[in-house]
Amino acid sequence: MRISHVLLAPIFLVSIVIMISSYAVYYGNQTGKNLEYQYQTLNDNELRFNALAAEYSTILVFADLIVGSDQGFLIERYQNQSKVLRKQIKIVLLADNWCCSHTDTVNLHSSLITMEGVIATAVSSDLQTNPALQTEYLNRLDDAAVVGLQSLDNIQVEVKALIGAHSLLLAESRTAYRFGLLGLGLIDLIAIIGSWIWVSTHVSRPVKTLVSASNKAFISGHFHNTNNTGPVELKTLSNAFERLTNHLGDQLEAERNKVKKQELEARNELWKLAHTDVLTQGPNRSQFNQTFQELIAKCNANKETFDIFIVDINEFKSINDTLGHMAGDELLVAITQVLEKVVGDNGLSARLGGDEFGLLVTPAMQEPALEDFIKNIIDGCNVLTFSDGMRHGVDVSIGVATFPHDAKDIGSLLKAADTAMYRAKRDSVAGSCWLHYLPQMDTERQRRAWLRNLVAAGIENKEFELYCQPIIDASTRKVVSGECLLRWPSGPEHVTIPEIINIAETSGLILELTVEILEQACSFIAALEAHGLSTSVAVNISAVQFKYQNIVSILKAAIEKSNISADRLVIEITESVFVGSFARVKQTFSELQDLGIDIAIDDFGTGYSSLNYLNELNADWLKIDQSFINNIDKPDGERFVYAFTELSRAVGTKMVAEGVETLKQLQILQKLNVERIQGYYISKPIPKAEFIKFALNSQQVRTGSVTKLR
Amino acid sequence: MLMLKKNHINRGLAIGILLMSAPLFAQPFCSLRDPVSIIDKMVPQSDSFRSSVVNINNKMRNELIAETGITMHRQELGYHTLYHVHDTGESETIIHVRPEATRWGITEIAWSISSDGQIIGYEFQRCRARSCDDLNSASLFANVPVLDGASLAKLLGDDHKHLSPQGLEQLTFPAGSDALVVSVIRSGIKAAALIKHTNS
Repeated sequence: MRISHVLLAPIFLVSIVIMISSYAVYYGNQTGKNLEYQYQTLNDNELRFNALAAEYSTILVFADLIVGSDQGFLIERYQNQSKVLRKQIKIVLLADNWCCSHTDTVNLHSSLITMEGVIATAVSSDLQTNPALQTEYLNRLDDAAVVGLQSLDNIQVEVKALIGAHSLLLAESRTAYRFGLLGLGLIDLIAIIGSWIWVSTHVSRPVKTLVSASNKAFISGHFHNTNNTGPVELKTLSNAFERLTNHLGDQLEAERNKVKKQELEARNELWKLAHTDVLTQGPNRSQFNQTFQELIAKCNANKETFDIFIVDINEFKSINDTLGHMAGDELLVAITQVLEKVVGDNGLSARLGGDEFGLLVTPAMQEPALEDFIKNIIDGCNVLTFSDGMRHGVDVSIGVATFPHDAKDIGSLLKAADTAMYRAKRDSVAGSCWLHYLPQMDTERQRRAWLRNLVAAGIENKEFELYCQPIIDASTRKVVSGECLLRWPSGPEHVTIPEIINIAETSGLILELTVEILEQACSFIAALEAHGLSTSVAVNISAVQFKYQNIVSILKAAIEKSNISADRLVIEITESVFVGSFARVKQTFSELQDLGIDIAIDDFGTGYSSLNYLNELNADWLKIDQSFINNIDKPDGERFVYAFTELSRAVGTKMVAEGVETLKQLQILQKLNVERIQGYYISKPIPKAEFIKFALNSQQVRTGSVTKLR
Repeated sequence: MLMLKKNHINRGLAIGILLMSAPLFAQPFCSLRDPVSIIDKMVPQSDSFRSSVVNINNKMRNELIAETGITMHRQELGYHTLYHVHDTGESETIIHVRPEATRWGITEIAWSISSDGQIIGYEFQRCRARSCDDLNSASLFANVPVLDGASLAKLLGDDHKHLSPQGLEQLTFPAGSDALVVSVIRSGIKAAALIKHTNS
């Protein structure tokens, strides 16, 4: 069915209904007019009848007066009126629209003729003198009048009946007409509503279905043609839509799949970026944390265990500073490879940041498997190459914690492994070191944190003081120098100065502390000069600070601030400073010596004692460790010290013997031509003011006398 | 036909005077029949009566019209006879026969009225209407408490051609006899007015 057919049907139906309705209205209207005309005609008949009746009554009155009251003079009027009435009756009789019985009309006419006859006779008689005759005529008149009156009554009844019937018919007709109009209106309305429903069903609904399917197709990309009914045009349109939408939908689907694929790839890339370390291309902290969480959940559920390792490269900053960041990056990549190889399929290794790596290994290992595992890491780190193959191996510090033994959550486990790693790094003398977490490490850590805060406050409040231990010239016995030693009078009990130095070094406070010490030392030199003393002052500088901080600039600033001569200052360093960063140490040595500062190797003989380093560095002083002095009165001991003196002379340095506590030790050292003597036999470390007095007093001691000064 | 009962002489005289005087007084619109029989019918206990003639001139006509509000035909001018009927109790009843022009012709209605103006009743002396036989005075006025000219006037509408609601309520008559009843009431009103006027 076409749309035109669909529309034609209701138009045809409505047109037919309207035509029928119009004709019905017209017919009803005509019928009503006819009825009204008939009713009007009846009313005219009634009017005519009333006129006849009134005229007849007048004639009767005249007749009565003429006969009964002897009023003959009325005869002429009577006759005229009777004649007129009879003519009117004839007219009525001949009229087409006269409604009623002709018999009664004829009787009425006859009664008039009869009465005319009676009256004509009566008038000619002498009724005035003959009452009986008058009565007779009256009776005859009555007889004729009764006929007429009876006819009038009959006609009246008939007219009223007809009028009543027509009135009723007219009222019914009008009512029927109104109801007919209402019914036709309803039929028209039904036809219109039916047409509307028809059009709605056959056109609007299919169009709506098409629109709905199109909207769905807009979302899904596929057009589902459910338009099986409706006009041909809509079906054709629907089919065209289906072809077009499905074609576009396929393209859209393909595009979507492509976008989805790209999205997936991008997501994977993002995930990879988010979970991969850019430098090492291995897992990063994010992936480490995610795996960590999953592992905890899994192990909790399955009652399993795992180990977490924190691996930190020793002296990584030094490597970066000395070899450049490229070398540092190479090292990180090489370490990543080592760790991945060692961990294998047993867990995950990730770079957590900087030079710190984290390992998750399941299940947790016991000795000796754990030791073997760590040994593999250390060995791998020892043999790796970086910096274009020029450097081989690094030392690492490793902390280990075990789930659930040491902790049960990520934060606590990380903290435990970290604590163990730092403890290992702190306790390491040289090379790689590792420690398994112990609960007491936390106590130690807490104590160090507490102490760190105290040290920081002490530096800020200038609570640290310098004591000075005199160093005398072995031949003149005059105080020629003094070693500054740190004291903290208001510090907590049972805290040693080495521990404070260690905390300062590990916490970053060493810079501030060094500045404080150097400023005090320089100020002290100025005080000595003020007393006419040319005594030098030695200050200990930690290996960490020497290697990693710009000690030269710090010293320059302190010297300039106190306005002293740099050659009064001696920097004491231990042999550990040579480890790993010799070139930088050598450079610093050179810069300091250029300023005029002397450099002393402290505790010589207990550390690396590399003759190569000693030769190249060209230190000013060697300070023989107290352990050698303690044994100097033994045959081997004296030979050792002698060897040291020969060595120092060979490399062009002078010697200081420290820890001298007896006269005999002093005498042997004098015999061995050791240049300077330091130890309790001479003096313990004393406050600066006392030192000045001590130094001044020493200037008065005679040369060659060996006497304990205090 | 004249009916002499108790005082045939007086009655005869009266009728004689009436009959002789009729031509003399032009042609009054008066009763068509001799009233003797109707006097006997209306006042059976009467022993004598006398008649009196009332001349309704233009002045009286106008007064009666003003009093009753009912138009009087010009042919009602002239001399009219009133019959003063006496019974053994010495009371007087006035009989006045009024010819009323109706659709049935002249309808003669005889009214009996007491000396104090109260209407006693009526009788049709001559009537062609079929309902005349069914419309007697007793039944028609059965529910009308006072019968005089004023009370009869209330039974008609303002046009004096139809019954008033009070008339429809108080009067008792056969169906279809409305026109005749209106003619009767109009006749009664004029009769009462005339007698009242005459007495005054």
